[in-house]
Amino acid sequence: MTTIFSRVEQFLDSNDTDGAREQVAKISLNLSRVDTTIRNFAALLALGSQNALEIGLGVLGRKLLNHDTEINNDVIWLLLAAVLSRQNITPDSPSRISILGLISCVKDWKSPIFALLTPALDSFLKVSLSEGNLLIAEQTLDFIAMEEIYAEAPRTKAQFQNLKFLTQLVLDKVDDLELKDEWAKGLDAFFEKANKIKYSDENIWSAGGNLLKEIYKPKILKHGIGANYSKQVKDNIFKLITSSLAAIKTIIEGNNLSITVRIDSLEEIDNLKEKDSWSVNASAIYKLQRLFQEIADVIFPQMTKLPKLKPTQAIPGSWTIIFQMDITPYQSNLLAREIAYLSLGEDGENKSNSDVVDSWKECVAELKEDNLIVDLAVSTNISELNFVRAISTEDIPNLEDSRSPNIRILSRDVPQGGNLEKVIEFSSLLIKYPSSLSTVRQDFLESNEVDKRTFYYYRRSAEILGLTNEQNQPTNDCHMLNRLSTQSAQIRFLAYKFMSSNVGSAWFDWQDAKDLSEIQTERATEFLIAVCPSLSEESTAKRRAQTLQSWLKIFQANF
Amino acid sequence: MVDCDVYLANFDRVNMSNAPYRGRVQAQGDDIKEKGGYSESWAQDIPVTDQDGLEFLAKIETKCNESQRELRKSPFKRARRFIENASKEGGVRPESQPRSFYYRKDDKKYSSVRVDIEIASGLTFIPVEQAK
Repeated sequence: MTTIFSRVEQFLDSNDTDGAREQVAKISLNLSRVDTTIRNFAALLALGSQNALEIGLGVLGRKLLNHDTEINNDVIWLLLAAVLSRQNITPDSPSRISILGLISCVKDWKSPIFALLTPALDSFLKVSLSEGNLLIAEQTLDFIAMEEIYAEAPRTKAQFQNLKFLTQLVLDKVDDLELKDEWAKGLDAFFEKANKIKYSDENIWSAGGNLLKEIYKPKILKHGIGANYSKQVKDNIFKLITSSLAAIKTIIEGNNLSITVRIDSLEEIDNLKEKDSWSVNASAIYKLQRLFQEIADVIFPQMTKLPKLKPTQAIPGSWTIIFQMDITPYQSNLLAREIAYLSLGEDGENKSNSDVVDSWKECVAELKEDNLIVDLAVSTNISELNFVRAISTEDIPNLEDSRSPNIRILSRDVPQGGNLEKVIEFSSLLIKYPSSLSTVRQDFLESNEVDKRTFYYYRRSAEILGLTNEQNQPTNDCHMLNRLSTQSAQIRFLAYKFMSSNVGSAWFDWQDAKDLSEIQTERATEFLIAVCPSLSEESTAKRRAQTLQSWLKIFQANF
Repeated sequence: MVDCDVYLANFDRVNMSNAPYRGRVQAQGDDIKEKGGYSESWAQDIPVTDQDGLEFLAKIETKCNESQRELRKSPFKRARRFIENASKEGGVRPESQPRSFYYRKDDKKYSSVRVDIEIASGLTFIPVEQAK
């Protein structure tokens, strides 16, 4: 049986918009309860093309003009969440007008399920107000000015000011003085009320997730019509909830940086989940902590060891945990902005730092090895970063199996600091200043006249060779390296360390080598393509193979 | 025709006709006894212009008595503004369906008092110059 979603897309694929609209108009939507048709309609809104979304919301908007239509809150919530869970809706989309009919059906914005959606909705409305389409901007202004109850939603001061600023910009351009005066009065009332709101309903943390689980019960996801689409909608809305929880935490507690992590496991390993969830999930948090550190290493102007993620709230009945990190507002915004770029996927690739993208992909690969689905969201106090779309392990496609499935390394195992003398210099600086990585960096940058990124590569090279631990402390091996009196002895020592590293031992396995001299340096690119799926593109593998080749030549010459 | 027939006739024109340009404007609320309120609909082969739209609104405004018109002063004004702005964008399709223009939605006594614009099919409220 085909779903509304697939039928509408078929019409749109053949450029028959009228036919698609007819299909949607024919649906008998019973808005008084969540049923299969409503779930399928939610799939159209959440997963359909933007054109399909626009048609769906237009038809729904007409239906909502009928005052006699009985509308259930769960239905409104599901449909609104489905729309807001979409990655992107263009600023000029007519759906920005028709969605206002759905939003107007909400009678109580203090209610936890609706309050939870307001950071995402505010973010959506701000785009409608600010992107230059007069009709969309004024319709949005009309909604805010005439529907005072939306003022009861939770907001940060910055969000409040930003919304006020944007509505004023639109109002300033209204040339009908009578209407301008009416809207101005409505806005005054709205912002006066909004300014007094102190949101405190504790149910906000769990109400949305609980409702979503109720709407998409396991049997519906396994056997219902359009079950596959339903699962995607549920996952997308859970991502939206994860982002919203981080935003709400910032709104209520004023944190510089709120972080929400939602961990789920693949269905196939449900049995395992029961057994190992605590240790596996704890290790996922550790991996995310490391991800944040790696991002900070790349983007912070000063070397900073990030404090540990501090759990502040756990959502009962789930592995959704809200953390805060005690760092400065400036640092919080830098981190959050990078996560925001990552959340844009391919659209954000030119904004994202390539090292940050690599770190995230590596982190995803490790999390997927534990069969985990992880959503990660951040929020800060500034308006544009209060609601940031969550990033998810599900955003990154599974890496193809390598040709040597038993031998596998991550790209983080492959060094990028090609000069071994600099690795030795880094190690000696680390012993000299064991508790101050920023001093190590300053000395290293000054003596080598290299950039921050190069320093990061050498720091990582030292870690790959086991000279530092993940807390950037020198290991016993680092002390030993520093004790050796000749450079040749140091190189030999590093050669042994290389052989026992992930990348070195993988190369031995791949070539079935018994001695370092058997390693064929000219096959470095081929080796990386075979064992490191994330470096499977030849140009990337070639670039990353250069360091391996230069190390190997020196090791083999000194061994 | 009795009121109910008028309502059904309007309903049929908008929903049952195959004409490519269909829609209607309505003034509704508990203070209007006619079923479906005062309504003007269209089902035609050429697009409805902004001028047509404003005239439809004017017609239903005329049907309102003084108190009904007074209560709908703001809804009519905002509905007209929608049509004018839609025209500046070159017209709108059913995907730009506006919500009801209410008088005072938060006041139970008046919460049904409204003006609706329904765009069922076709590019609507195009600038009159464009139609020429």
